[in-house]
Amino acid sequence: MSLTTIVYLVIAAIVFLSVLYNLVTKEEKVVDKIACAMILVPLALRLLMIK
Amino acid sequence: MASNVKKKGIISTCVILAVAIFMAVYAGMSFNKKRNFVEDVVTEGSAVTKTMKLSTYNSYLANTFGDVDIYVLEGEEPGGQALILGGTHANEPAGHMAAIVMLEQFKPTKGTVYVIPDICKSGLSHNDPLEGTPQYIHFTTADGNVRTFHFGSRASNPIDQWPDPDTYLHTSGDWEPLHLPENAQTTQTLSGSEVRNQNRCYPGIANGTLTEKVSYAVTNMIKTLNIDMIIDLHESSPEYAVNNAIVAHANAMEIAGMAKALTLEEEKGIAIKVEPSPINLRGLTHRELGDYTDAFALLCEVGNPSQGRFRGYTDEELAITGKDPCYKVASEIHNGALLYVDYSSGDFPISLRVARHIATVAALIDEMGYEYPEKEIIIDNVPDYDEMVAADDLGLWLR
Repeated sequence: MSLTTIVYLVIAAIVFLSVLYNLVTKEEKVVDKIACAMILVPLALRLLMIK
Repeated sequence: MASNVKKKGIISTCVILAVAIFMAVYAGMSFNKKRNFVEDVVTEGSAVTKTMKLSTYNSYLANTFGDVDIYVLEGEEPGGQALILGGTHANEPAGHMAAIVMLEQFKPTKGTVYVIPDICKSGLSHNDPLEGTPQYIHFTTADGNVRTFHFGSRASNPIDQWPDPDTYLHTSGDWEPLHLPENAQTTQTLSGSEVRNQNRCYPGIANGTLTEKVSYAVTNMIKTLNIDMIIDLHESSPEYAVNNAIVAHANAMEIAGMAKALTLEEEKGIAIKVEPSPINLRGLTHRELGDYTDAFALLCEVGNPSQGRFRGYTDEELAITGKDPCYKVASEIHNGALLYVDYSSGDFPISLRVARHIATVAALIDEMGYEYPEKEIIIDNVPDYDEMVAADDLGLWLR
């Protein structure tokens, strides 16, 4: 795994955790929560390197 | 009251998270299954005399996803050598399937045929996002067995090399050109995603990206074994100009022209074009393998409605039958001037597309033997074009 890939994975992990944090603690409207969840799905797959 | 609202919020968050986790697990399992699915290539009863690993020609490929099998079909009498590549673009299934039919059916009596049906195995292991293409295609053999094959992506899987650069700078690495035309460049800038396009990475770099490593191995294999002819099998959108065609390097132009005129058109009635390989379109098999090796470098194209932009609903049936109402409409506008294939029948089945590839490969190999008797390859049991088209059932030619 190249260094660039690792940097991108770290970025993806930070975005994943930020969105998850928002979903759990910040978002109040259901539609916003659903939007957060939909963002999490591809991010989780990318973090696990599943394509 | 406030605690009720808070409780409702927690419940909705949990439900939404549970649904997201279910979707991630379901999609992940599906993608993971495809990534690890192994096609059953049947060598029992075929003329395959041995198999080799592609990493034989680039040690950096060992234990990677690109280390595929090379199937060797060796005749009893020595003669010429040809290499057939299938699956360069995994969303062009006739190229992949034609190579599999050839390795299961061809019986060379003179010379040697090398077949690599999944040269871009990484591309076969995933699909292009938002294209709606199937993950697999299925065929029923004469024995009633259902065989499953990948339908993949045009490019290598980003798992194997990620991220793409903004701009891909194609270079020829450490290779020294043997037949570079005058005024030809050896480098080229391409869009970033082309770094995962197997047919933009030749002649390859030994320790480059996975795609470049595979290309390097192919170039090195041709040079090491002194292979005389390389044929790369593709498909193209019906609205793409290079269609139902042989693309030939200058060194193979005469062979392609004679095969088209004498065998394919006059003898078999197959309309086909011959296109010259552009000298400054770098990274392609028909360009680089002609410039950097002594092999006759050729690429075959045939129309594939399942990859075209005009297509409608996309599924396995479209990939196999080529039946698409949108292309039918397109074929009726301006007397079919929008398309570069005759789509008046309303379909373009994979049996026809594979039959065209097989007839073209056989004609090119025959023509090489006529022009260069020391490079003659004689192959028995070549599936008959007319029979394949009439039967319209590719499964009958699979073991």
